[in-house]
Formats: sequence, C-alpha cells, structure tokens
Amino acid sequence: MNNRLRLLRAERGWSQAELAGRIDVSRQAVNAIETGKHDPSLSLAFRIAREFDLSIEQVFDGRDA
Amino acid sequence: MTSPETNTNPPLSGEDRLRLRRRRIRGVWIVALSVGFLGGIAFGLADGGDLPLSPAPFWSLLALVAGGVVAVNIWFIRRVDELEVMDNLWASFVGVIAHILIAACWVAAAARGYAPAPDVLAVLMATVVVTFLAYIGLKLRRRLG
Repeated sequence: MNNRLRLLRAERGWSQAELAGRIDVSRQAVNAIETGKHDPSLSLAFRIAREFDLSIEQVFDGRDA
Repeated sequence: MTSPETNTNPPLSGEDRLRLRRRRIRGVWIVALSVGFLGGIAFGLADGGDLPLSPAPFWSLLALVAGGVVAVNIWFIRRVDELEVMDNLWASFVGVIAHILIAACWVAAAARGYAPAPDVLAVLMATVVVTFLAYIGLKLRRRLG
C-alpha cells in the first residue's frame, strides 16, 4: 500500500527509530511500512495517523505500492 | 502519587522509548534463558547423579518449566509489534508443516523397512531447526530484500 510515511517523517526530522518509539513498534516495522513490504493493521494505521495529526487517508492512499 | 506540576522529568523521546522497550525485552529473554540453562544443568545433575527425583518433585518441576515457558512466550508475543507476531506465526506454521512431513515420511519409510524406527527427539530437533531457519529467513528477506 502506498503511503507518505517517509516524507512526513522527514518533514518532522524524525529518524525511523524516533517514529518507532512514538508508535510503539520496532524500527524494522517502520521500515517495512515505508517500503510497502508490510501493510499495517487498522489500529496501527490509526496510531501512525494520530502521531502526525492527520487522517489515515492523508498518510495511506490504499493503492498497492 | 506525583502531580503533573511536580513531575520535572522531560518526556522521553521516541528513540529513548524504543531503546527502553528493546532493553526490557532483551532483559527478560536473558533472564529466562539463563534460568532455563542453569535449571537444565541442575536437573541433569540431580537426575543423573545420586539424587534421582521421585515422581512428585519431577512432575512439579516439569509443570513449573512448562508454565514458565508459556508465560514468557505470552509476555513476549503481547509486547512485540504486529510484524514480529507475523514473523513468529509464519515460522511456527513452517515448523508445524515440517514436523508433520518429517514424522509422516519417517514413519512411512520405517514401516517399509527403508529407515530405522522414528526417533522422537530427532523429529523434535529437526522441527526446532526448521522453525528457527524459517524465522531467520524471514528476517533476512526483510533486511536484504
């Protein structure tokens, strides 16, 4: 699934580890989501969107990467 | 209880929280594996030496070990993220399939005299090795692929 995670993270100057700690997952999980190798569950997608103060649709576009 | 006004600790950064989380999980595994390792040596010494265990302590000890293994694994799986849970599930699935195939093929071959009688411990060890290799393979694929 396409997403803007890497861009949003870069805008805030966060490393993958920083975002991982904030949403309570491993750094590998953040990397897998960013590169489209893992589609997050709905609850994790909500957590990610909330961390950026955005809606899920603003982070994930629902199309396959 | 500390009120928000008196709490002067700055909030932890994401990287600090990640580090703490990793350290906690690693710590529990180190303690669990150390207890298991030392317990196994003590059990082996007691069982093979001059202090053979009678049935009651033997079964109690086995129940304690089984309870400990289940508790640590439940604790682990509830604390890791969904990606780690998924990797564990896939590796376990591969392990179960391997276990069934190895055992069934060995029994079939032994029944026809093409192989010695199945060894439970060998099947168990092969299952553990296949499960471990599947887990490592998943991790490597994610890292390299």
